[in-house]
Amino acid sequence: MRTQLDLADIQGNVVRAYGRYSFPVARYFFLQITDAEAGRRFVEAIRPCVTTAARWDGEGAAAKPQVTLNIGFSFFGLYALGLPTRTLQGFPTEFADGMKARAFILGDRNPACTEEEARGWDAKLDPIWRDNNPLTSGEVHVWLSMNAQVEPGTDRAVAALEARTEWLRSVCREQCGGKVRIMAGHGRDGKGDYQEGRALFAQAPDGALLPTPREHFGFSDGVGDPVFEGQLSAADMRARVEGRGKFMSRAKGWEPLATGEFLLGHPDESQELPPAPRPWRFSRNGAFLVYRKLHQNVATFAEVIGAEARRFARVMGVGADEAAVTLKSKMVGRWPDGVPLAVAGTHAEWLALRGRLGLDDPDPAKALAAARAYLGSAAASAFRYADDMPGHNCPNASHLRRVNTRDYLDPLNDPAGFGPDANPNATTQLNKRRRILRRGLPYGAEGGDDDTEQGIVFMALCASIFRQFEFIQQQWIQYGLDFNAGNNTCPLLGDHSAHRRFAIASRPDSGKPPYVMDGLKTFVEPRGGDYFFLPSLTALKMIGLGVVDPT
Amino acid sequence: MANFDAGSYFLTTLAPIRPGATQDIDGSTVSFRQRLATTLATLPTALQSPATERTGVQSPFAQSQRTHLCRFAIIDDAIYNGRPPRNPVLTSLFGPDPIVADRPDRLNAAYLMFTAEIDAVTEDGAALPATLSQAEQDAVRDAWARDIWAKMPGTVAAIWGNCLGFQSVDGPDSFARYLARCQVETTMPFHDYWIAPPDLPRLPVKLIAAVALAPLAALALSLAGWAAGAQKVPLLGLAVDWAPWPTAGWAALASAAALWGVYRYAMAHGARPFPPPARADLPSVLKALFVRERLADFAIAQQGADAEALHKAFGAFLAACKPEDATGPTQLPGVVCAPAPEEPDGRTRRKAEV
Repeated sequence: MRTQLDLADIQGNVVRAYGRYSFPVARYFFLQITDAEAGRRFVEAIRPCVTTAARWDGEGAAAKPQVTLNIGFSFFGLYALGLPTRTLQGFPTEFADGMKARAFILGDRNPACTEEEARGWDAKLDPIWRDNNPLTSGEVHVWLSMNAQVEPGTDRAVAALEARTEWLRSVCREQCGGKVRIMAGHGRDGKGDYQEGRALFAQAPDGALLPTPREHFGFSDGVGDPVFEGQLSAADMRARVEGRGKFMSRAKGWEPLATGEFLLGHPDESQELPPAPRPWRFSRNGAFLVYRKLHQNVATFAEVIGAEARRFARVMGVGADEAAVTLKSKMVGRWPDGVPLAVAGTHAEWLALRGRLGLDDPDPAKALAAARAYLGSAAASAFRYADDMPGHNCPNASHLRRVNTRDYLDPLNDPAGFGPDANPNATTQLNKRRRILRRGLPYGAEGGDDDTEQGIVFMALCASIFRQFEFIQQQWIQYGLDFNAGNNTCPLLGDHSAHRRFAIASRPDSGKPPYVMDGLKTFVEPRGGDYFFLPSLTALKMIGLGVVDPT
Repeated sequence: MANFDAGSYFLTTLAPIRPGATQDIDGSTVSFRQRLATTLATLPTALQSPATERTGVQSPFAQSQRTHLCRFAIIDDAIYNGRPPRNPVLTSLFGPDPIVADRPDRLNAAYLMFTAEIDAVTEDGAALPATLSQAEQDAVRDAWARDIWAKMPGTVAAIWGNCLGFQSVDGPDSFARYLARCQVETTMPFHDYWIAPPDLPRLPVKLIAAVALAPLAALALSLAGWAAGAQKVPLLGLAVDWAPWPTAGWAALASAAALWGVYRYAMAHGARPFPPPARADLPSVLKALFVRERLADFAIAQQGADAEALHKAFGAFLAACKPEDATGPTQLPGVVCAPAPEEPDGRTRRKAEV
């Protein structure tokens, strides 16, 4: 039987990446609770405004808001709210640890250094995250996000965003007597009292500004997010499950992932209930949220690509522009417009596909519409790696193959398998317990350098931070063994202070040798973040009323 | 028979730890078990983490040119898993009385477990053998024990001195005898130096099936003939004058013998050791790690070089690296990688920038 989720009980960001649903501007607030009673009053004041997962179309639909609002709590936030010890005890260890204590596992603290050598690793974090230490006045308790629509044709958020912000400030000040406070400390100077997220905009020929799916390295981001049972209407699921769910067999095709991979209280892909605190009613329909501010060293990226592209152009006998775009796309696993290398493995194939898709239409409006249609289509997500085991098209250690391994790890794959006949029965079984829902937006303006503020506000939702997010980060981003790449880290997101190589296989028919980049530098650095619990609306009510009873 | 497999010797020993207490160097009273635990905790490991690499204090076992891996563990007791499950109906009819507690399984002492995977040779650098008699296997173990004693007598005494029966050990031969006394069979060795699947003999399945099925078929035919009240065994009766009844008995005996024989044959076949993989001895493995790293450095440095320059550079690489010479230049035992050659800018490649 198809799962019917109580969508009005689930927070809206679990089912929707707001940035893709025309909310391209966001404010992320972090708060501290110094008094449990004031904290519960705060939760009760916020709760009616929380955006739920209820559908915005169809019968009995909720109205699409101008500004969304969602809320989550750190472990010590829940402690500060006075939750019973037995409930707190039921939370997973990594959640109680928080992101900073997990720095070694995540690779945020360089694992090639001893603890002594790595001292001060957090100096580059934004002040709010640098000072986020348990049992101090810097401890972060609450994550609260607002996503706003923009005035049509501009990059200005609707006025309701500022109004909602003022309302939040007044709730803290007046209803909570200042015992719940919005924490400052964002950005280099630490002055901001929220972190802004904002899509990168492009100018249409008529001068209108339109949000794009690009990030600061120039690539389309957020394509191919997973889908789970009950998340979408039946029609939407049929349109989106291909390439985003799990591939069962050639007969069964793609199916949505089990609900319990992302929501507590539901069976997961191991046919178990994910570990969750008591009482049952408190944890059901909740999820864990990883908030991570990832700074992008845009100048270093351009410099390294430029230097490598000169050698690549010489070795491969191609032009400078082709060399640069090919190199960085091989690192990512998609071409800048989002076309997967698994589909178009060479520059010429990519250009040909762009032509067929209408991405090079002389009318910019048509080209933009074609690009949007393509990214939303199954074609941008439904591809596999078992047909390219040597990585001739999409290198084995590229970013895309690391973060979503698809059918690459099927044990029956032939290591030399290449072409459509290579193990067509390969499934995504060994990948389906390692998926995360990605939410978030870029931040900062374009045209900066390493020292300016730009990057991605990365957010991941999952049922187990340890099994899903941390596994991907530790084993697949900061390590390369599953991709026959030894200690080499993800070319895009990895720490390259010790490991600077990235191997690019060449197609045998090209007659070219493989190419190894060996001058990688760290392009993406954490600026802080933490782990939060995203309660259901029922749980919010229980917290607000102080009736969480685990007995 | 799995102490020896794939050219390697898999040693598993269990030594009972002495009961009672002794005086520690600081004058305090410690049990032998406590003293052993402290000794093991302070025994240097191989240099495989940033912290141990910086100390440079190497595991004493890295002096051995035959030891791939070794490991100590203290087994305090058998883990109590609760009362064994029993059928409640049968228990209520026949006992035992569930009110009476079962006696938990306990060990008679804490044990020191020591395991090692070593090249099955008696001389450093010798070729790995494909087969070894029991006596030859014992010789491998004893030669290794004598080598360890010679290289680290103090460490051996500091560890096994806390165990029962070690008091009479006073030299390499008595240490070898002591380890042999403590040895238990390794039943599940794991060897992972295969770069290609081994060329294994196949069981003659058809022949085995024929041997096993022939008497079974005779049995079935005899029984069918007996049931039908025939004078002779069907089909077989065309060739021989066998009556169903005694034939069924003989066929049953023959079937049992054939099945037992086939079972023993298959098991004996399976118990034969795998052949050694190519270049799986420790010096060759270390050399391979060394060559792989240097070859990767070489290949990257030569990207885009023309054929003549590449040929010349490869000649120089071969001359410097000597890939066929396992004695050197190579990587030392007990480290993750050989020290990297210095780069022009003075920094070594693999050391992290702090």
